[in-house]
Amino acid sequence: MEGGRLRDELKKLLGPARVSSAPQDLVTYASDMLPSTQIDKLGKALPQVLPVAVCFPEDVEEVQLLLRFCSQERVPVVPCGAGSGVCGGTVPPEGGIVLDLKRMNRVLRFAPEERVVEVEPGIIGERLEDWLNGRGFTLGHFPSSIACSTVGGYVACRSAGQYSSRYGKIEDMTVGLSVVQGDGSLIDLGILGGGHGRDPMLSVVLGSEGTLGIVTRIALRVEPLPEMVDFAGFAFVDLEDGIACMRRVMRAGIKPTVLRLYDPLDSLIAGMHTSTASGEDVHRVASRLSGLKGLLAGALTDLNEAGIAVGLLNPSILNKIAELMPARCMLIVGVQGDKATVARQWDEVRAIAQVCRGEDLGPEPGYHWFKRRYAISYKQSRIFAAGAFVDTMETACTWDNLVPMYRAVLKAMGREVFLMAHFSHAYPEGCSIYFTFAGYRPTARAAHSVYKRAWREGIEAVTRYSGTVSHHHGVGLLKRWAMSRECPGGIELFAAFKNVMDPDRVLNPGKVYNLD
Amino acid sequence: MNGTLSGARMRKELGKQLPAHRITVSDSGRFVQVEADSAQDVSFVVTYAARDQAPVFPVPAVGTIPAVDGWHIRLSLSRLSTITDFSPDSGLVCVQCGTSMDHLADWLAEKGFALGVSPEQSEHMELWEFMLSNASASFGPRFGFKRDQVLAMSAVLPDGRTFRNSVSPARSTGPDFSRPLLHAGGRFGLPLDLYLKIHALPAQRVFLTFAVKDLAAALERAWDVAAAATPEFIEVGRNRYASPGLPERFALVELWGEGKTLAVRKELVRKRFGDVATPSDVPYEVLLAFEQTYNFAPGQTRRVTLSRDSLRRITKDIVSSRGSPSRLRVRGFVEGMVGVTADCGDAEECALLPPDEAEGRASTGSSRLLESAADALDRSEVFTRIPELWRAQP
Repeated sequence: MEGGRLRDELKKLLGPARVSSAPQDLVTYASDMLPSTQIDKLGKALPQVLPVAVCFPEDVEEVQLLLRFCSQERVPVVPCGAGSGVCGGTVPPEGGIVLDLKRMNRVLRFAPEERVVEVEPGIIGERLEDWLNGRGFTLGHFPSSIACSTVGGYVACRSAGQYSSRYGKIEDMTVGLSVVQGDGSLIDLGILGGGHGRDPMLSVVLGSEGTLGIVTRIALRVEPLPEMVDFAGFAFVDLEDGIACMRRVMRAGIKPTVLRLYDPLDSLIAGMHTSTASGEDVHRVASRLSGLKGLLAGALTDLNEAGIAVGLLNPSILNKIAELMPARCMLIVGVQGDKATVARQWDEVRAIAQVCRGEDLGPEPGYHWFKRRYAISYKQSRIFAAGAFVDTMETACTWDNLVPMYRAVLKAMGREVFLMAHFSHAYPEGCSIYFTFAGYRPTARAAHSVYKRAWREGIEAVTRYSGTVSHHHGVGLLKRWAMSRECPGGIELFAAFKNVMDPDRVLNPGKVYNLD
Repeated sequence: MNGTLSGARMRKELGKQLPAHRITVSDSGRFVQVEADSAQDVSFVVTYAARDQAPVFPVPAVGTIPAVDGWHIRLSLSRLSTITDFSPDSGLVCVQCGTSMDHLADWLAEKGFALGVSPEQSEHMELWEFMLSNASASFGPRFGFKRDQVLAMSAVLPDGRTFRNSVSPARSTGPDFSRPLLHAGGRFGLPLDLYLKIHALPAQRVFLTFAVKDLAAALERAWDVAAAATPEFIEVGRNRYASPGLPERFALVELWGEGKTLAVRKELVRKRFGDVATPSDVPYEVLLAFEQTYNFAPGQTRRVTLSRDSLRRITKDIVSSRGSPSRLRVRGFVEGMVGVTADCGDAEECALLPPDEAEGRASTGSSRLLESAADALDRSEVFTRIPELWRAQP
């Protein structure tokens, strides 16, 4: 259907005020926070494909109406929450329309005795958490993007929050979904459909990134707010000791609120915020290497363009220097519960840390992290403003593959980009690694090339150790090429569900698996 | 179904890759039985079956294959019984699907480990059968349900291709297809190997026994106990035929661990049960022996998984009824679900228990979607009838 006619039809369905074709809206909704689109912008290039229109439905009936129409007319539909995803999940590669769901942001039902809250998908994570806190409950989901991401987005890409070791990922919290399928029909799953929170279809829709249906209602398990949460930091001589401590804590059945280990470079940049003698040692080393530290830290903060160029044009050298720096690794631990439980958990954690040669740094590093826990999401724009690029690769694997995989990724990506990592989202069987990498090339085209190579090398290293190519950011467009390695045979199953739930293939085309 | 199929033709086609001694054409029934020796064998057989539209049934250790009108393939997975990976640090073991559950348990015990759940009966079952069927398993607050024990898996799909997911504790890579694979009874595929979670046998195992005054109250308190102390095992039960001196209503709790933590958890269990269950001096072993006197007879026993709400609804009936179920045990207390086994005098008494609400029970719409997607995947109807294997199970 021709664009002008399509817009007219959409306005008939929703009313003119809730269909936008303003150029600034079309450009904005043509990309999310996928770094490669930011690199395009460095080259002053506008997105190549724009949506025809952006629609703002306000309830499930309107979503149904739109999908019924788009399915008949074969118009691609890309659902969008806050657009803070970093994998291109809301990029419309075939044009069509973008469905902005942020007006569907109500709390629909709260049943404290059942410990369930039901919400619409467009509610911002922070708003829901505040709402629950006011009633003595928590969702327990704290992604660093909490202020600029929606619950629908969490469900779409199987998000994880910083307290996942205690509360699990969003799929562990989701007990029911209402989903509008490609043809506009509505289906209720899990407790919303009269089944249970373990309905196997929930695990099919969760993570499907809007390719199988548009989620319009989400039932989530909530928990009472803990009596107290307490944090502390520990320093380890090397990474292996720190990881051993995390593993032992998780294998012992302790469920810490937070367990977050920084690799030596990330520890240095994060800073050992402590007044202990050993902590001062770290600062002394850092002081002696202040020029280098400035260069390294600058890659993620506010170094000038020349500094970035010098450092990031030669990432191998920079990575090698970083590797040789005599820094220890910092572990942030949080525990929660009533006073007695917290005390008991600290006893257990401290005993394990001691066995692993960890030094107790006291509460300060933990509370320092807690205060700044959402800051990272706001640092990246500075790097792009300086003409460089930055991205993150979050993976996970089993404990025995963790250090080898970490080293393999450093080696593989270190040829192209400067990188560091932290280990968080710990489970009894393994852990996630969150790599942050930065690169620079004088032209957008060259930067693109380095960026792509870095990703390819990184993913290949990850899959050699049977790790997952995404722990919580999703697949989108960025990682779909890797799905044949991540999940051989997955595309056959995906196609089967797609044929049933979206036979006209209008929903978020090209995402997760490429069926073309 | 393909009307041109014959035993001779199937033997010839399958013999292109498989040795003749592992292909048997039945004399009486219309099937060819194949002993698969590798994942490649399974894939080959299923690929052939899809091409010639021959239904495939894996051969169960327990239960029987339903009557089939026409030629079909019976696929024995028993030779796929190797434990291919063992990682004590990550708490994982990779097991081929034909491994028997009792062999796996023994193997792990020798190494000081155990699965988080174990079959409550039919330990001779092979792993694929245990996972796909509705065979009951002990489950408890610490380790969860039987299908939660699977971290990663590979499976053969109805077209013979292989599915595999990454060996990772969590993922954000599209839908988690291992759930329909495990929950749909074999409609989406047959497991080939599974990465299962394992747990070190503890330094100490503590068994707490309680005499219960009020069964309904004890069942309610058990949820609190489960949430607060996360026991490895918890059961609340009743036995009207208890020997003199043994409590008719009782609770059992098993805790693993050591030192102070264990002491704290013990205390938590006692506190949470409070006055509805008093510590009993009947040794756990005696109660276990007493438990073994349970003699659930066929047709008089119901095993169902129930939600907390359903349990609450029937509790009143159970408590108020004069004699039945005469023997009852309620286990699990995981995420609002329990496993209930009841020994009833007759069908009327058994009817007191509602239908099974097994873990992963799909909503109506969900069942329809699963069915349609399985049909879309399995156009040759190779695996369509596998779920019938489980219908005969209690």
